[in-house]
Amino acid sequence: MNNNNFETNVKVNANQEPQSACNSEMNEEKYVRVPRADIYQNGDDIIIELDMPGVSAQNVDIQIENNVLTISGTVKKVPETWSLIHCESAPCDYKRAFELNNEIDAENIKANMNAGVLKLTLPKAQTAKPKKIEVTCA
Amino acid sequence: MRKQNNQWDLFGGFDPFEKWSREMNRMFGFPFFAGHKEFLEGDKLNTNLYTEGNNLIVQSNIPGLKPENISVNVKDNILTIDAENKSTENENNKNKKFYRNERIQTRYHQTISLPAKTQIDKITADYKEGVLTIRLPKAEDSSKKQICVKCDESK
Repeated sequence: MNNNNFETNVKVNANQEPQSACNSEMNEEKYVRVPRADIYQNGDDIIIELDMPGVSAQNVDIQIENNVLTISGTVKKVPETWSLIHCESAPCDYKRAFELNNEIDAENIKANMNAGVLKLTLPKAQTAKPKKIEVTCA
Repeated sequence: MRKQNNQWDLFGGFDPFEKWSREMNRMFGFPFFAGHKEFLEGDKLNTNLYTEGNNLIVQSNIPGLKPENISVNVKDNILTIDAENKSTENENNKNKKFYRNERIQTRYHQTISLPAKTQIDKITADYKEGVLTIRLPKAEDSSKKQICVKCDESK
């Protein structure tokens, strides 16, 4: 793990570390799990990949507020006709937040869901072009 | 569910150090406890078991796999799931600069001894949204059977 060279444009909040596969926290009545994430740079884009099994593309909610990218996913419930006889991983929803800095173009973030993996592509913003100020003389 | 052919059978199939040694192996990145079966065959999958009518349903979360990398076998009432989480773009991986790498790429191996006999030819497996669902219809002969209790009252 390259956690040492952490001069990335995406910050992970301290309480958002998935210590184990079953790291879950009490949130009102529901358990919410922090999905495991990969963050890497591919060309000019920053890519975040999150493991969210059981979540379909329609049930993912991605929001950006005050430069905080929040991803939450709802797991489809098991049909009521199924009765549980052995449980090793309790079905629960996912939530994770990332802090973005100004270098990321928040308008053009793309998201793609495939086989339970959510892939977010965060393009870098066009660096502010130097402005030329013309001086007029009276 | 009990692991089959477990070489650590000192405690009647239960290995108290199993989870601990697996975590240690993963932490060091090589088999620190060399020869441990778990490490050689692959990680354990977290599996949920359900029943629905006459069906037994095995469900497991394995995100980011291709269906061709999953194999499900049933033999002698033992269900075996093998899966491999391969990086599809190995060559592109070199160009990637990782800031955070939490997702695991590993092999999975799980054996489950089924609680009932199943109709092997009617088993279906389905992989959708990163969830593997295996549906096993129970065999007829494993359904309920009443047994008469006889009592010899002549003394």
